[in-house]
Amino acid sequence: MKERLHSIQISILIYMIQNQIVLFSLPRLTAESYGTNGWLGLIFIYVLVNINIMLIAIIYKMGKGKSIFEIIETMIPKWVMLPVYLFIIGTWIGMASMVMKMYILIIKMFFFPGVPVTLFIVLITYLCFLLLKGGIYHISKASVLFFILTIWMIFLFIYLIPEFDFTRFTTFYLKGNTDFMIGSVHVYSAFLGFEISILFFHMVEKKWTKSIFIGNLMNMSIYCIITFLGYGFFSFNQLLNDIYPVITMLEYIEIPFLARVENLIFSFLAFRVILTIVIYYWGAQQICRNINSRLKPNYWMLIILTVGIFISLIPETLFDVEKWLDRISYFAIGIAWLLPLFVLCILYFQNLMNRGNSDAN
Amino acid sequence: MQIRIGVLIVMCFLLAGCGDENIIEELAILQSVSFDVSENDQYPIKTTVLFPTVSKEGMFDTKTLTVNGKSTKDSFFKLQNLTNLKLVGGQGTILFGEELAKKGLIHFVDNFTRDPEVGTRSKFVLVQGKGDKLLTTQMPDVPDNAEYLYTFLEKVGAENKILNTSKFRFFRDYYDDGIDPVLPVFSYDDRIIQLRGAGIFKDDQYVKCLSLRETQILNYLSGDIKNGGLILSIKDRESGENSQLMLSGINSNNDVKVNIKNSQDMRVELSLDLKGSVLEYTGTMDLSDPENQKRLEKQVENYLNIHAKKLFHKMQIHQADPIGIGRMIRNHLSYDKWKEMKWREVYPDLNIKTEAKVDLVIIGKTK
Repeated sequence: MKERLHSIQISILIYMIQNQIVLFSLPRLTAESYGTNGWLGLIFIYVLVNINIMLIAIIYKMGKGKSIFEIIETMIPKWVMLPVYLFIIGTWIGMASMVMKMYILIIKMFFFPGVPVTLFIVLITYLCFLLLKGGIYHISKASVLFFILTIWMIFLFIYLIPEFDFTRFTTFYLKGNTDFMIGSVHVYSAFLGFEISILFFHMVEKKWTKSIFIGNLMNMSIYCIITFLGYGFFSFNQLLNDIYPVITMLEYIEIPFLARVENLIFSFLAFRVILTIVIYYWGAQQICRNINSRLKPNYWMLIILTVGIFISLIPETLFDVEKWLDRISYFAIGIAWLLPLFVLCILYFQNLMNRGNSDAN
Repeated sequence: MQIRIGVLIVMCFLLAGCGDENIIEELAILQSVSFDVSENDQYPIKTTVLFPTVSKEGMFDTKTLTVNGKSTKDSFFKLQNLTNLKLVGGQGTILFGEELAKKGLIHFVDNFTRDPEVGTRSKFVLVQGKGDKLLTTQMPDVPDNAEYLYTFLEKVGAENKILNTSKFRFFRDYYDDGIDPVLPVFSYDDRIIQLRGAGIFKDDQYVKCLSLRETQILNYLSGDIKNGGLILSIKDRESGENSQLMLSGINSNNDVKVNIKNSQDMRVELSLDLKGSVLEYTGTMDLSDPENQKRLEKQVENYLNIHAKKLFHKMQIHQADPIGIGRMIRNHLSYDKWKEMKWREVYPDLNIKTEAKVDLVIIGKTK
């Protein structure tokens, strides 16, 4: 019998694959987007993400566990869908390579200014290759291990409590130069990664969809704790001025036997970032396999990883990478909403047709 | 086999630091940096760095280098050409000369936030006179000026919450509405480095150095204090002469009440509840008598109320708000009203009252 993903594994996997690279700037992003006490905006985005997940859950229920390719291709021929598939593959590979490049550039800026970017790209890509080779089951097992390796870090933030002051929150709610629309898209991109679960349907145990909600809730809790702390730790304008406030927070933590812990933590966070990258590559690989199942999966993987490396080499500065990541995030958010909606429409028409057929009989 | 390769790769990744080698003998790790106004108009910033060196024989020494530059980065570029070692920043002390600080620091220190090498906990210090002189003057009682200053700051920071300053805290208070930064002020002579008090700022401009007595009152007014100390002189009832009183183990609670009728009529009442023990008393009262103890408590309360009033007056004249009264006012107003209000103009005329309550818990071993 084929191994299936357990619901706890899925929760941890979802938590681990959500786009952590945005977390480093999340307190600032919420402040820029929603103004004073902008951390409240996270709740709004969390609700939106849950609606998005609900769409995936409905598809699973209505489709009775059939994979989305089966659902789509019963009504629409594969060659018609090809441009859509290629667009999704392109977006997901782009997402993976930009997250990778951004992490590398940050680590280079803060810790290893002399190490060439290509060395990091090759190393991370090779790690991704090893994980991808094992398939989703190995990825999910690795995610549990990486989860244990990284979850303790949240307790380090306790050391910031002496600097925390409610006075800095101000009594103003969502005031200042806000940018609700664009800002929300940026904040939403911090939750991205869950949309890949639309490809899990035939690999999971029954009643798994609540695990996505739990994984997302875990991530939201971490985001909320860190962002909330950020508003009491920084003054509001200082928060707006700091590109990576979470790194500054980590930098400030001083334990009697350890200072500047951000060096250590940032290396550990590589595990989370790698999982985000891997899951996007894996998603792209699944669609490629659906397009042409005759080509061996490992060949697809090599093609995807090579394309990923080339894309990540294009933008050179951190500013460019952020710009690319922003654009690709827009597409990824579009896919996260439109793909489930599209599949739902097909399911609806299929149901209508089935009902029509049974009525005719 | 796969696992072995995987472990190897993870190790390679974690050991990527080896690609960016920093051999300690080849580094000049900056312990202290000072910035002053230079006499050269073309290169207005005078930068002095101090770093430790170790000779081949294992002898420890310190070295200082000075250049004039257009900006901090320009100066560091020039400094790199004055030594065979690689200059790297750290969690050291950054000194600002008085003249430079009076001109305003923000454009100048903004570079530090950009450079990840300068830690968030780096200490900022003001120097009465020139910062470079404090670093370079050989003092018989001070073997290593930078190290001495750093440990001095650690001690001062532990004793006085308000003087526990860092790069992060300076920026935080600068960027916040309704509070100004504070930095400790040091002076030097041929023999010794000494603390003069708290330097208060109006935005990023240094405006006044508070005396040590004023600084200790500012410390109690700015927040809750655990295990603090207080030295004050009070007039003796019988002899009429000034007597010294030293309190220790002070735990104080601070509560600010804001009463706003309109933007012209605002009152701030700061109540200070202070509990401490008498460590030294040179007056003539018998403190074992509860009546006298009450009297002494009243005298301390009066001292605090009067000196706090004088201190507020001084800070209001200089438009400096290191306590953060503005933040309290802000949190009692609507967003629009706060933005309409010109806080700097309102602050000098604000009615601020201090109400101290003192309890002497222990009066010491003798009467």
